[in-house]
Amino acid sequence: MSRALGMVVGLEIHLQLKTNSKMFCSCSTEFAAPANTNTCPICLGWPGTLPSLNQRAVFFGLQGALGLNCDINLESWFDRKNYFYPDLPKGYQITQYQKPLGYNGTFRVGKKDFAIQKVHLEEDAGKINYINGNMEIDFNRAGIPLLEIVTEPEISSPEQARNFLRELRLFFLYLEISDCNMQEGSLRCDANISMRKVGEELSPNQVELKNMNSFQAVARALEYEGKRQSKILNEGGLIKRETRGWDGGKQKTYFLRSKEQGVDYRYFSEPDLPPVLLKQEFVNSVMGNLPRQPVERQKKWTEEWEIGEEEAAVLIAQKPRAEYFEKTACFAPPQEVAKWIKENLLQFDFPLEIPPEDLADIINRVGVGELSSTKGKEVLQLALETRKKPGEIIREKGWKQVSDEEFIKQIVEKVLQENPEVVQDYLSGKEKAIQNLIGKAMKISEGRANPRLVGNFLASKLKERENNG
Amino acid sequence: MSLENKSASYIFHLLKKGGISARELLKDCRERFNERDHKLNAFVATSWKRAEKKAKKIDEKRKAGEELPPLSGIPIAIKDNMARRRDTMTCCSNFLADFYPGYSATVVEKLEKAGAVIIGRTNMDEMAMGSTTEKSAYFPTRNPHDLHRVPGGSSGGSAAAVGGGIVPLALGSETGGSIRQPASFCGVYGLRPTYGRVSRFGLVAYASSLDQIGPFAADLDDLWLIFCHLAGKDERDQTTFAGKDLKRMGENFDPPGLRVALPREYLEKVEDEEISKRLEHVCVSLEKAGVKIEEVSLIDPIRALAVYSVIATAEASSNLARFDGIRFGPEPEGVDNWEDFIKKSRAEGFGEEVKNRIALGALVLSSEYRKDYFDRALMVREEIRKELEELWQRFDLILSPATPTPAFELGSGMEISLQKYMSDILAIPASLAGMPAISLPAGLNEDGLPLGLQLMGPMWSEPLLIDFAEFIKQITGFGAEVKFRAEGGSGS
Repeated sequence: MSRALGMVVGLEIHLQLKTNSKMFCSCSTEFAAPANTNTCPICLGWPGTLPSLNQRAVFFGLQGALGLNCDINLESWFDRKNYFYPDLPKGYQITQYQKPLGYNGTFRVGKKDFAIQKVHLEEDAGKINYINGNMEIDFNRAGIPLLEIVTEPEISSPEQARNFLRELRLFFLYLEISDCNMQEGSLRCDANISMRKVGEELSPNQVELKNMNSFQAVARALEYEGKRQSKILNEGGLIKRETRGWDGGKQKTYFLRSKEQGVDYRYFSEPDLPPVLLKQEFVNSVMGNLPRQPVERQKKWTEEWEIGEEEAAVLIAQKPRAEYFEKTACFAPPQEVAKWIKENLLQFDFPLEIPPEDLADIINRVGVGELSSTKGKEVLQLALETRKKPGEIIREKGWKQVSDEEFIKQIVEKVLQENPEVVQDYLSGKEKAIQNLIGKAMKISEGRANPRLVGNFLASKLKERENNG
Repeated sequence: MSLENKSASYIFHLLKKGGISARELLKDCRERFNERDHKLNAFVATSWKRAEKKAKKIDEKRKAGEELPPLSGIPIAIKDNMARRRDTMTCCSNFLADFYPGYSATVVEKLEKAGAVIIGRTNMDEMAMGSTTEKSAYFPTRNPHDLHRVPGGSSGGSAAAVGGGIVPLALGSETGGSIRQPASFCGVYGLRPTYGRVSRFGLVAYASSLDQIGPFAADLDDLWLIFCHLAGKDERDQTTFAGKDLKRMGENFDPPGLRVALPREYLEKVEDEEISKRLEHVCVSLEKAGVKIEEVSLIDPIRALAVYSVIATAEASSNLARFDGIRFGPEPEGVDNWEDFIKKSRAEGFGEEVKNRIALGALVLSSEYRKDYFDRALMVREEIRKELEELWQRFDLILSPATPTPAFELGSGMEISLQKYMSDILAIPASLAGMPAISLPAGLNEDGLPLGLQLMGPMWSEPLLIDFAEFIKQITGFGAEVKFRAEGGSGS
């Protein structure tokens, strides 16, 4: 009989930090530059060269660690992780092994806090490409700063892993310290997975999963691997410590290498770099100036501004969109603004060509009835095309909504005269016929008449006729 | 006019006054090189053309009445592990036989800016691993005082070039005692600066936490002059510091107020009676001059040597991992996977001594042995540093012999390999502690071989070391022994 097994997953996320220059030299970090053009003697590990630490990378790393609520090591340092590989120029990777920048963090997804074991800085390796069966190494990537985030093994399903990663990605996009682009490799994720019965100790025989190039792939690989391991365990077998890759084509994990005879990385502290010393006041000021996070913003929107969950989710998905929304909401009712953005503007790149106060102006004119909502949308369209102020467009087009009673009275009389059969429909009980009449009145006024006033006036006129029999 | 035995400061003075041109200076240097180096083998590469261009420029500058920087026209040699633009850099290893770094070490840039005329690159033990210069991939260098003997190492080429009178100044580098030991064997001054005082950028790393660049000189004022030009914080080496002021005491120097420690355990390592007697003689002279000398007990340097061999090889195993044949170095043939590519490249490129030290270093760092070796070595290193720190509360300097014996004979028989390792032993504690030390000549023995003493001081105490060395020279008459004894024979 098969036992109910629970999944235990820990994630290791690597983010390329978007500094202009590499971690230890002044080479550019530009993506997709021609192979081996962003290199110098330092990142190629030529003899006699020494690393110089990029302070911006430390700053970004600190922002990341603080954002994840980590305790900060005011003195951290770099270590060498020694191994041979063609894409590793120095024969060692400079990383933080003994003293990471941050540790003991948490990250909230929905209502659950996930524990973050550590957050540390390290350098990226080069990239191996196989061209016509030849190994070609591009060292452009070598030395790009990475932030590694290691979670505690507290994730218990593929779905949870995916949500965690989605939220984490959004979080770092808001911090603006990484492009978080999985296709370009600026966000990479490995997962450690094991299965256990409820109450059982964590298995030491974890399998590390690699080569997953989307969050979907992470979820699928975990699901596959969970089933694979459950089957082995249920048949009385043992899971081996190993690294497995994800084959997206076959939708399967496959054996990469065993961890039984693991590589001995011979770590020791990097003698070419002084320790990273941070002052508490500096850490505090970075902490105090962290950009507001998506969760916080969303909470304010839904709770204080009473924005719907669905609209909030749409608005939060991109930081420029969220910021544009918040700015516009300073000038117009947030609910209206959210509705306008969601209904009319999602196909555009944010921030829009039209300033937030102008968008708010249109929304407000519609709100007070100066502009019909149809005309409002046209004004918006023109404002985006011409970059003119909404007021100017309305003046030029003569679209200002008219609430003048005499004007509306004349139109209404005209509509009643010209459409006796519709009037008859209404009088015989078809209440919806009034909408037809309002539409006709608006048409005659070329959309300028205030529809609410037209409606009111029509209603009272029709009532008169009803009473007069 | 031969300028052998003339100090760089004097030569510069002469040059400024128009008494000699930079080109004449270079010609003089080249004559001595031609006469001697085919026997000494101190140099592995020369750059006479470039040197001549530079000399010409200096002469033109002087004629135009321009201000000349204080090393103008001085011929200088650099060790083959320091990068220089438009020059080779081999570290006397087959691995770098065809290597052109394209960049200059910070020290090279500084010397060139100060007007120095670099005439060539000096021999060394491959990758600076060795104490005799016999481990060079090219040829052994010989001791100018006796061609049958070694000049010491690993900076043996630079020591022999100065001791043999070819150049007044040269740069060497130290991990354990690779400046002080050959300086002592060749009868010249050799300075190991405080760790972090001189930039390591452009110096091929052996053991990063121990490596330092330092000068050889036949004259203490010259040593001071070049040292001042080497020192300073460098953005390209983040382990450098500005340190304390570069200021000698001059007339305010008051030796009788100084307290000098004489560590018993160091004296016990001496195997040559002459050296002990010479030290005694110096002590008596110092005491007569009012200097307080006191015997003290310190951690046995044999422990320092053990710690050193663990830490230095451990770091070396990592520093030399970049030599994989992929981006530079020999590309092996007949391999079909990257593992074999790297293995073969390293197997063919490195000599035995380098391979041995890499293997030892990888071993002491391995998870199986690191606790017993690497981690313990770090602890003892800290103990040694602390002990010396505490000693500086009561003493200003440590005086000791520089080496247990004078220069030994060429030839790499197993029976003397321990002797070779031991020849660094008295230099190691300062290296581990990152403190400065100077080796100074103390005359010749009956066979005409130089004997040497060593002064160690606290961090940033180079000015005091040089002032005190000058004081010893004044009261004992012991100065550099620049000589070339061609009768020493050419073979062994």
